[in-house]
Amino acid sequence: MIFDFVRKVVLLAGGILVVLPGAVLCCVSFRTSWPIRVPHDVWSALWRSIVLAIVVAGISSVIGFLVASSYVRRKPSRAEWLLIALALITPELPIAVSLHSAFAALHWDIPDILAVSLGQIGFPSALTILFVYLRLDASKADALIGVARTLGAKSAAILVLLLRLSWPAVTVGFLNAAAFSLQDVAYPWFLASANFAVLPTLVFSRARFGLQPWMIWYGALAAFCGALVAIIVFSPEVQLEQES
Amino acid sequence: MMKKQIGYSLGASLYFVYPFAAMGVALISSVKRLSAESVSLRPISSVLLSTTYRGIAISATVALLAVTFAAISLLHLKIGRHIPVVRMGARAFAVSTQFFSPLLVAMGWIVTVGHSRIAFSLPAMILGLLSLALPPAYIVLDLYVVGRLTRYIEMASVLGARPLMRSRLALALARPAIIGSLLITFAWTYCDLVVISLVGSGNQFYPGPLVSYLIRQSTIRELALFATLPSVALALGAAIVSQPSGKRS
Repeated sequence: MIFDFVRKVVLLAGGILVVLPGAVLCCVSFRTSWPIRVPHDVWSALWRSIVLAIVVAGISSVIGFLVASSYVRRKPSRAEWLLIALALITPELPIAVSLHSAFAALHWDIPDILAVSLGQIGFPSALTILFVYLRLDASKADALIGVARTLGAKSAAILVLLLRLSWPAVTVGFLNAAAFSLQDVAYPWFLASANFAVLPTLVFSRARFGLQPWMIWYGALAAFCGALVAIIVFSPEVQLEQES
Repeated sequence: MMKKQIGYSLGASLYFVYPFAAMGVALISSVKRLSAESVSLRPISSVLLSTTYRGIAISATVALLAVTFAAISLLHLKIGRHIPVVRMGARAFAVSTQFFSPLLVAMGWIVTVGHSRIAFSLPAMILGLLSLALPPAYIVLDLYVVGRLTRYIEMASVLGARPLMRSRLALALARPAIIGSLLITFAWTYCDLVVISLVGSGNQFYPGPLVSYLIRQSTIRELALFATLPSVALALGAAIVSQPSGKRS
């Protein structure tokens, strides 16, 4: 009886700990008085963040889809799974520092948006591969490819077929990558120059002097978007792989 | 056609190697530069060492707490006869909170404890890091113990095992998942920059803020990489543990 009670309390405490920051931000955002004063440089940072998010989400979705479709035709080896797991598990900080040091050592002066994109693409594209692979695997895509080939379909037609089968997973990968890019601090902080300020780095550098209303609204919107992406991930359209 | 497919797969795998290739290039150039320019490391090496110890202590505490919380929560949901909707709901909850970034968590904790006594102190930092570490710890455990564990526990309950015995059985079966989860949460907490910088006290150095400081001091930039290497080793360990052979054991 006591054991059961302790388990319930721990479950509840864990849930509260996890949800508290997002919930508090959402509640506090409604108490801010309108109109909110937004510093001039925030708008340009927001624009840069949106462009960066679209670039990162687009590239990682394309890479994720192409890699997953090749994995469906030929099952990935253990080493390939290990690489994907490493891309998902390795923290951002060592990768950001490594890329920064490698660019400096090789004297590569690449544009800020490209440098940050190179860092940010790894994690979301690995996640997109997983989403798309599970989706295609659940749809018995390998059997469909065999049928399509027997009927004389070309590679491009097969790729279109795979895209039609996996579009919910590709969409989720795209949204996840965009959400990740819009909230990521480490890569822009280490890989971009001071002129290339994006919204998360602006919030990070100014939050220590006190949270302003526009920062709270940014946090509340980010929490809302996170919840929205999660709802899409768990929608019946995407959950085909769970049923299998 | 087969050659083409192998080419695709190899190309895809090479894509994931570039961060680690960059790590290798950075390490070699760092070692070369540090040995060639005879940078005086004595003042910074003591700071680096004490920061590493502090980082390990905090990360180990948070990882242990997070995995304990996650394991007990999962045990409650698996051993208790909960309907699948509840288990699915718990997983959905963990995944959705996974989309909360460190920046969001840090801002939430700043608002939560901003006007209280524990603001910007060690307990606040640990609470913030726990918020960050709990969802991945739960997801890793959930992914590995689902299915097989439920079957074994059902079998044990049919044979008349008591809850404590069933918990022991569950812990024994989930050992690789627990180790993997511990390593992952440790690595992520050790390399956190945002929560520690914003919610921490700021009086003492932790690995993340130290790395940020070192990168800005271009003369000792090379040391930043060495401060983050333990987390890479742990991530590699977690990836190996989470391989299918690890799951079977």
